[in-house]
Amino acid sequence: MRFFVRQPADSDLIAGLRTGGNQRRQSEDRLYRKYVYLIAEGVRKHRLEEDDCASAYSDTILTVIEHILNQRFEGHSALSTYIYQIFNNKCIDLIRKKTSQRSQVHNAVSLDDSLLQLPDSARSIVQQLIAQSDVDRLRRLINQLGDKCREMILAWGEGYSDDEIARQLNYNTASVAKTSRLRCLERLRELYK
Amino acid sequence: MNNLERIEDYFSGRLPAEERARFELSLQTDPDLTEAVAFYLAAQQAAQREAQSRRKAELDQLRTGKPVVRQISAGAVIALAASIVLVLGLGAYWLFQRQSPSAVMLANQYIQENYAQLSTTMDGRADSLQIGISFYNAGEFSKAEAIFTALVQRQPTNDRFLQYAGLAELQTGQYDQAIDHFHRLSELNDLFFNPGLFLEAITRLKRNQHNDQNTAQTLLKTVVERNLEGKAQAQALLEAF
Repeated sequence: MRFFVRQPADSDLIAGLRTGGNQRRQSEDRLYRKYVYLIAEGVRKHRLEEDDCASAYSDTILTVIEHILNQRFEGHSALSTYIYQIFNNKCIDLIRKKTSQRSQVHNAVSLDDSLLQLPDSARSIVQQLIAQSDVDRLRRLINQLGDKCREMILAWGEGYSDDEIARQLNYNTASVAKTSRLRCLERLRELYK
Repeated sequence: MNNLERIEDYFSGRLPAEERARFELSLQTDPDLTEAVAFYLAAQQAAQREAQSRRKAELDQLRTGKPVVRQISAGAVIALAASIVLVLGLGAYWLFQRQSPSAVMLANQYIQENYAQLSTTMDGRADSLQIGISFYNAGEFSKAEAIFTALVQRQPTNDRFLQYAGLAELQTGQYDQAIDHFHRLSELNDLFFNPGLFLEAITRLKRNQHNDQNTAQTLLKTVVERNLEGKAQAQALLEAF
């Protein structure tokens, strides 16, 4: 019961997320648990199904984690307020989706930052090639890689550094982890061709 | 340096200026490189989505089996207080009596087999740590606990001190303190072997208070999923639930 659970302070959770490694993962879980009561709130306030609210809540937590890690969350508002606002928006998105039967168009992962680094002359070509690529197929192929390769690629996708990946997957150094990860990526490319 | 490594170094800003300029020039003339860049970014996007989807499933799992509690206003809290006291009063007997013999038995067996004795260091110095270990190995757990706790106070992030203090407290039945020490141990993220989560799970099984079984199960699942120290025993314990 929530009454009897000692909840971690938001500042500790944010610090834990930014520390990275195993501590990041634990802080993610704690953050999820701390505000899990919002699911019930969503059910009551928006009259949504509990599973829908739970899904919106997980999305919210993942978004908030991303915002904390990339410094988009600057602490101008309390973390609880920030989470509540995002969760509320996601519930409203869900209601709109249900009423209009349109799927949500926003994409959680943005390529913009990477694409902006490219010179103008190359950007549009790369953009076109990415648009033609089959990301869903790539996702399926990632799951066909061996266990270790899959874990490395997914950890990379989550933004873990090679140093963190080395520690998580018992590689001697970050450099060894990086070489192995790029080899896995090469294998994925071969499968994709 | 192969193409993917060069591409990664480009996007992470690790290419020197000259090499960076050469890379950007090649992008205009080398279709293979352009295609490789597109693959790299698409693969990264796929990995991000797949990782998010998996992480979302893991977070959803955290909710499973846990009561989803609605936030209650201050007035309602007061109104509920009397009922809670009553429910707790009735429930306490049941909770303290409620045992999961197989899981607790396995926990006891594990502690007995693995932590009846602590390994001594080879240098033979009679420092505090050695004295604490000697007390522990002689079964004088309270004395050992006092020494290990003092060591933790001096070095709060020393993994060995945290583990030994927790173990001595586990042996003396001071489960709350043991959980605290093991929890702090589990939060140290620079260790090759970290039994913190597993030991916290074991201690919760021993304490067996309200929600300890659920929490222990969650911790054990985490140990298994993340391939942490104690994975094999964690699997055995999970099967015993």
